[in-house]
Amino acid sequence: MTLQEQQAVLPRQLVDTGLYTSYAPSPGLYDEMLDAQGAVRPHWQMFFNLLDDLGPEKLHHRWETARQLIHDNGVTYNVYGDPAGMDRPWHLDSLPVVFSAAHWAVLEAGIAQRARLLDAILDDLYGPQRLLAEKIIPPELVFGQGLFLRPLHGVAVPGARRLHTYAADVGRGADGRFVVLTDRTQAPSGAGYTLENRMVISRALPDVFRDCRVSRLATFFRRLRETLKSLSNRENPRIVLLTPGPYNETYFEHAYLARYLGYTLVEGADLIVRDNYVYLKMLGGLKRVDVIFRRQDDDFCDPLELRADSALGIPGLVQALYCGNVAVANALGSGLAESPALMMFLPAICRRLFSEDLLLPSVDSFWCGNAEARKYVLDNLPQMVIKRAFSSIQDKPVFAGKLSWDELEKLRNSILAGPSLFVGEHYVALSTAPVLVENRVQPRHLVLRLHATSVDDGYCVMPGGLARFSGSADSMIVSMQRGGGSKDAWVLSDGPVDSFSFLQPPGQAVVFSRALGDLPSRVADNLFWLGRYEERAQANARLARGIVTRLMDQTFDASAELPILFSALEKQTMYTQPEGREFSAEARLVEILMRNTHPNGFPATLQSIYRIAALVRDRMSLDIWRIINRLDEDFPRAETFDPALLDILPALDRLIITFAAFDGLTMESMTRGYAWRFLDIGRRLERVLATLTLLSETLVPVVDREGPLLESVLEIADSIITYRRRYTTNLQVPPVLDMLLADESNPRSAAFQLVRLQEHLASLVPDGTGVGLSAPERIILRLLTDIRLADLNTLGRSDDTDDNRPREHLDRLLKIWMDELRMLSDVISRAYLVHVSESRQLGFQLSTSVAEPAS
Amino acid sequence: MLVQVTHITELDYSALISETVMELRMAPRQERLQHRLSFVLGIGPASEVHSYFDWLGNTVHTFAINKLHRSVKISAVSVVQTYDRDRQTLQSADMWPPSAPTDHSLFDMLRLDAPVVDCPALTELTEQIRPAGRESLARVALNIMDKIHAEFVYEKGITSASSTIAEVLEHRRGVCQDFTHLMIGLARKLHIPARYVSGFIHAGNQQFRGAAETHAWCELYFPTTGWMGYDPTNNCEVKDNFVKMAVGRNYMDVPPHKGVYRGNATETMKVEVHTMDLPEISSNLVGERTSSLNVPIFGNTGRGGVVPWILEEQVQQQQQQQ
Repeated sequence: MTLQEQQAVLPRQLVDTGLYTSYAPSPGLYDEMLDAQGAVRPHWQMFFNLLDDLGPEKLHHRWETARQLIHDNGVTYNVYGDPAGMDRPWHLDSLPVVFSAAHWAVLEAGIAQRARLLDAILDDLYGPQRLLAEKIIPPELVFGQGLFLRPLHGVAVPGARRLHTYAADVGRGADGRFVVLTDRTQAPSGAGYTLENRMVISRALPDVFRDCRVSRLATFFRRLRETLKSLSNRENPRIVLLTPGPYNETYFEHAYLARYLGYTLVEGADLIVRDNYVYLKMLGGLKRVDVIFRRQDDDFCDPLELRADSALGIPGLVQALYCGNVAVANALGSGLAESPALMMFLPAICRRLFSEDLLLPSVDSFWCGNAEARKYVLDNLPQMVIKRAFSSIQDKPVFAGKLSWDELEKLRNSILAGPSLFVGEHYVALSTAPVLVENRVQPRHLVLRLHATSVDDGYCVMPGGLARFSGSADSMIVSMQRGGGSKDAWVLSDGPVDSFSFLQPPGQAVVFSRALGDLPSRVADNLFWLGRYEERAQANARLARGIVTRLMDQTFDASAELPILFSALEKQTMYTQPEGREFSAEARLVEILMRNTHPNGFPATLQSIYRIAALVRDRMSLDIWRIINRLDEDFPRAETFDPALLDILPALDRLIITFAAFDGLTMESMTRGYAWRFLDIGRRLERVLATLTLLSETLVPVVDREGPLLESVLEIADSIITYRRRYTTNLQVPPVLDMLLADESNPRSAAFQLVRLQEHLASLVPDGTGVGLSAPERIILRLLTDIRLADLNTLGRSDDTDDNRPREHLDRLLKIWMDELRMLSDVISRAYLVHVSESRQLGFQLSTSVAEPAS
Repeated sequence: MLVQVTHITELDYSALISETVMELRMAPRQERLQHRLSFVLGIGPASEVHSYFDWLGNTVHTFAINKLHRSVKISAVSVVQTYDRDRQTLQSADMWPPSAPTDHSLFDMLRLDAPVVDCPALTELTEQIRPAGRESLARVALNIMDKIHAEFVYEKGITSASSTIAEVLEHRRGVCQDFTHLMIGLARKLHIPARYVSGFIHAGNQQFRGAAETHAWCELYFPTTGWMGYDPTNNCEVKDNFVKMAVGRNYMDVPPHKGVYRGNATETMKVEVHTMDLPEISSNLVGERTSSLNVPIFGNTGRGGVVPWILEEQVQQQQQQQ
């Protein structure tokens, strides 16, 4: 069949599938799939046919699977101030956008040249400043803004390159030409999302992907790794990926890339500068860092030299850079090149520095600091998009055409008041591409984020990119923050597809390794607290379930033990009943479990589990992460419905089973390295504490009929079955104490946990400062010996002469033990988790100290 | 004049802190009219000191303390030979308005940026002193200084470290930093490059505001003679009893010490400055070196020992978390 015949036939097939029936791009705009006559462009043919063969139903089914994958992988994009919560699921469209090899070649050459140009500009402005001396760009563009970091002026960079990664947002105008909309030079994001999109789409459409001969992305990432490695002259440089932290909008990507590239994911607080070298705080001590691949903005990187209010930075980093002891990619200060104000000067700079013409044009851009440009912008204001000249990312562009007359005047006045702070741009009528919206294919405007990384002789451009589309056909605003979505971008290959993958080629000999791996102290700290919170929530849930079952079962008289159990639960969850309010037992439970706003209350504890798990997401298997994701669904929040006792019981049951799954999975699938040990240390420690607290709350007071109370205690501590087998129905305090305190074969007893803790601590790296036991080991041994020696018969006996006199001896012992345990938690933190005597859980913070002004 | 400056800074913290990273701009500059003959720095707790020149040519010393500590003490003692300016500025041939500077590095010293902010009150004051036509640049500088001296009152406690000149213009009161910022603002409004200087005055038997303290004044750029110093607080031109530590766009570029610390503690600061003129250089002060001051530190607890009272503090914090 010839091409013409195919085109003649296809529209009819479209009608048949129903998928594309309503696809009608606006006339006058460029559409990626259909040409002006409404025929499918040749490079889409293959994709189109293959999708057609698949049929809408199969496509739909496959897509559902892929969507599940996104959910399960926890792909998110944090939106600041989103009431729906911190993590918004990633919105990926099932249809990729396809580019021909010929179109791509144009883009590729343009992006590579532009990256080279921006790098050369940075090199000049942080060096000899010839561009200023020759008046090719005005000094205001450099000194008149915050992105020029003066402390870095004249500081040499390794490899003489400042831009190791570069990204550009590119759009296609109505004439089909590509234009650059924005440049990203400080810490370009999107490469990780591009990769994740590709993984999902190629899994949803494996056959289509293969048959279309789509260029692979892995080669690009190999180049990136080589580039970063080359920044250090050490044999095996330690490279870390620096993230601002989980509250950053693209945190998912940071964790994802770190895992993919094999780098340690670190936050500023993990790094420390000593004697002008940068070190990573690990459990095994400080490890020197050679290259920092940063995803943090320039001025936040060093609170000492750059931005004093930054709590994220590494004090002294700039010093280490001065000494050439560490490399940062992209170089600090590279944000200077992303000012929209610079765009207008690029063609002239390109001719001056390279004697070349700029291959890929920028959007028509007019910096108002220039008199001529300002006049043009003000004369044509309603047709302009107005941006801040020096900060491309934070501020929203203003579409002047959509302003009221008053707003327009206000804008005009602010431009006149500080003209050099504004840039006017022509509006680009962005091209459209097909997007699947509610099972129908509809046109949406498209912006493509392209990535480049430096290589020896220039830049290597990723064959593909992150395509983002607008929220509606009318909106030209393309933003993940404002309701749009993303697509995979396929670049068709002319030749054979490079099938490089980070997986080892078959047949190559593999070096065996059983290394457990060292762990950053912060990660160990987080795992420790994850263990503690998880166990705490579990203990609370068990106690609450004990209460619910007693409340619901009307056949028993539970009036004796209920007040005691309630008081135990309230104490464990830091709940205080508001004054002057009386609740029924049922309402009281709902208050405790769902409406308690105390930072250590039950709802907050569940939240903490999720929050901390997110911090160590890169350390956990996907399955564990899925379990964590379920917690939220298991236990609904109070805002969403008004719960009844009947709903709470199954919710608690689900929760307890999910916790059991978590325990089981971490037990069975985590290697016995530091990560697992610290998780387990936290868990064991919390479990002893919970057991002792339960005993202290329930067995110290003496009630008339102790049987039912003892039964509920055993049930809450998950030991009732064993007890019955051993003692049948003879419920007495001393054997209960034995089971829950001293019996080292009962995995719920205090002694059992202590033995496990003893094993863990013995296996940790000795610091070589002494012989004998470490401080935590001493505390454990003391506790364990105390428990083993305790005379349970005496402790459990109630005073017969005085009715209902509490068991004072037991009370005193339990209190001492609990104090020791709290101290143990602290000593463990001090001994293993902090290298600068600082634990993040204690809320230690960075503060600035500045000399008082002269007088 | 041969001047010895002793500059002692003591920082005390309400609780133990675990990390201090600090940079100092305390060493007198080496310039044509000021030779630093000796600079001895003492740091406590003892720590290794590194130094470099910042982008303005100031000498910066940096150090870090990574052990628990409760106070930091810095002592900087320098001996400086200073010279009077060799010619009266009023004889300078430089005229106002100055031609636009060809050196783009002066751009920073012409820009109005926080805390030297542009505001209507600044514009108003500028208009009151704007020369009618061509005028000697030195005369314009003296006029600015006279204006500040006539209309502003020296008073402590009105402004703070972060005050902008808008606040100074509103209260008509301030201290030397404020007057310096104000003079810089007025000069820049009149297109004269101006920069901030931090340093000391040796008063001798004369009266000077800002003696026995860290002081600030400014310098205006004269195309033929370079940077010339003016002290608006004392309404005088800078002479050989002024010792320059550092120059910058404004105070933020040149604080004598600037640092970060890690810990839940508040800081109290005490600064002492003594100056004296020496008949000759004492031989044991020649040469630059660092020494350490005896300030107690608390050892990292490591595995074995835990300092008991530290632990107590920690346990309390921990319990508040639970």
